Amino acid sequence: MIKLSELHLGVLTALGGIVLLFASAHFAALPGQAYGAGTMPRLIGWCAILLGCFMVATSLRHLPEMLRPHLADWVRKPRLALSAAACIGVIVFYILFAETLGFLPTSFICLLGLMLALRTGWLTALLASVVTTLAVYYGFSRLLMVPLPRTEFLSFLG
Amino acid sequence: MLILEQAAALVFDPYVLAVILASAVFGMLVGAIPGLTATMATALLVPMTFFMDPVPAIAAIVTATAMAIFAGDIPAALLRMPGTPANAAYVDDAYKMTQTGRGDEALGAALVFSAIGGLFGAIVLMTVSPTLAEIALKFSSEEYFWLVLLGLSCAVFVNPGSPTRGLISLLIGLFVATIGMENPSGEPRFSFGNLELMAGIQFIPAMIGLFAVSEVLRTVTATSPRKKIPRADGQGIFRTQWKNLKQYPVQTVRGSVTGTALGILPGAGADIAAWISYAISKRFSKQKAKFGTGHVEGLVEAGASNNSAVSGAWIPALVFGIPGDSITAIVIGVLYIKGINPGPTIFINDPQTVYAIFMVFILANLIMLPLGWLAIRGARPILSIPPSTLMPMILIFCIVGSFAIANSVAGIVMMLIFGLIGFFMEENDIPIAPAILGMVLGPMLEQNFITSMIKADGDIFRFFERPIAGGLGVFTILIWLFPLAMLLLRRRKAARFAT
Repeated sequence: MIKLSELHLGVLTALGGIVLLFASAHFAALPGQAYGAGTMPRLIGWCAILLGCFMVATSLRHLPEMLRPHLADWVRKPRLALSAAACIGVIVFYILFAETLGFLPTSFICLLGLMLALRTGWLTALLASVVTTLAVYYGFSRLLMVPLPRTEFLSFLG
Repeated sequence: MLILEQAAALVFDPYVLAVILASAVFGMLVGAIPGLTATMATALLVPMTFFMDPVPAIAAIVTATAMAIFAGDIPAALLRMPGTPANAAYVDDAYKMTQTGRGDEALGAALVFSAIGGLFGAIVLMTVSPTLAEIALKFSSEEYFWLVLLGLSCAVFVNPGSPTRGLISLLIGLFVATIGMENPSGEPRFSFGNLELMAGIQFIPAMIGLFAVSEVLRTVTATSPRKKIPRADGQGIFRTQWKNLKQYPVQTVRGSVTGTALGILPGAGADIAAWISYAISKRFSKQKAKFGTGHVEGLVEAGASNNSAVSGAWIPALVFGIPGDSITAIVIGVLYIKGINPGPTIFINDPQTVYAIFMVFILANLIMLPLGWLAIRGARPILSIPPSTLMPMILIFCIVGSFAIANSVAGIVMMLIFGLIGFFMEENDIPIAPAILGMVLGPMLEQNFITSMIKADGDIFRFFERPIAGGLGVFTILIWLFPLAMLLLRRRKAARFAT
């Protein structure tokens, strides 16, 4: 991931402000009033533009240094980058498959997969995944009445 | 005296005491799980209160909410996952204290000062409810506008790093708060036709993403292995608090007073109270630089504040039947179901019930101490789990917590998006706290700003016409001008030295 300088952030903030001004231009005002849905986004947009300009102006003094992009250390280490990708992948997997598979198998797969990806030992990962899945399931589903996605073939578990 | 005896008989009934104990455990559990709020604990209790008499029904709600607000500090301190929005203000201090082996002190402070704040709020509730409620009802949109702006000014004080990056974060939070249909003209904004977005960004999944998911990502991408968390210093959970109480008496009282006062204002409540108190604490502290690095002072003040706000919110609810927050809105409903009409007449028609409620507040805050002690001790082993096993567990809690708030996958999607935003922000030294503050206060700021502008016909000077609004306005502007004046003074001094 690129680490942004004050100059980069200033430019991004000002651009964000401009986009916000354009995006909120079509919001209608309240009938008979000068204010409405667009007032607040436009105010935020103007604040962002002012802040961005201020950041750019103050960072111009250190221009050559400010222009150079920096890469985060972990980006250069494939194992760490893969660990981050695995965390995001696990959440995406849950979003895509929880409704179809049900909570119990999805949670178990997510936990086991991620623990192994982060180099937890097999046995510990297996035990921790089973215990956490069951604890979360019973805690949320039974005690707190949260309707977690059901798994038909595991319905005997409650 | 007879009324007090009758009230005591109502409260010290074995059935009511058992209800208080059970709901305390329940509140503790709900509050400790990120994604489940004190409001949710109250909502979950409502069906059970149908089968209870008025006093045990109200006792269950009072106890569960007080416990939930404190219990939110447990995952905040141990895992950087604030259990409820009211715990988010000082999460970084609590978490960093844990990382340096002072987890017991952090959680002990949260527990003891929550109880003190709660007791203070309860005493205010018992003694000066009607007078305070009358003042609070005089607040109009102008006063609320300045109050919210004052709250937002806290972002400048809360942020330990660069003020420009703090402002970027605040603007992100304010922008996020504009998404959806909740605006003066009810027009969908930035929702791209998506039904979930039309309802606005759900605060809890966003908070879980910004704090917890980003922390998981930071942990797994850490280039140097995480330092082993030192064992607790052995001073116990309560022993260090006597020292803190002696060292920060002003902060304790100030937090309790601020929390109670903000709790009374309809629409404010524990979340805003904690942020404002944390900012006040930093503003007046002799050790400003230590805030955000694992310093207990802000935790003491904001911890007292958020629980005293819970009691404060009951003042307008009982005296006028106007809810101070979402919890008391539910409570008013429960009272009506039980045939008790909240309002000035409740003190004449049902004085024993009112005094019984006051007693329950005292009991709930006292019972918090032993139960909180047990909960902290029970949660401590989490710290000995290696990160490679703990991080996946936290992620599953985050996923289920985000799902639970609306029973929808959309919550998990929001959590993921905000997790990535939070990770990007922290990688670039943009603090997360101001964004949270912007999200909390954004809708209130917009509503009161637009209402006031319409009332004033665009004349900004009318924002100062009412005495309380004028006072708050001048105070807020002074707070904004103060850092600028200091900067100019410092520059002038430096120039004088140079010549």
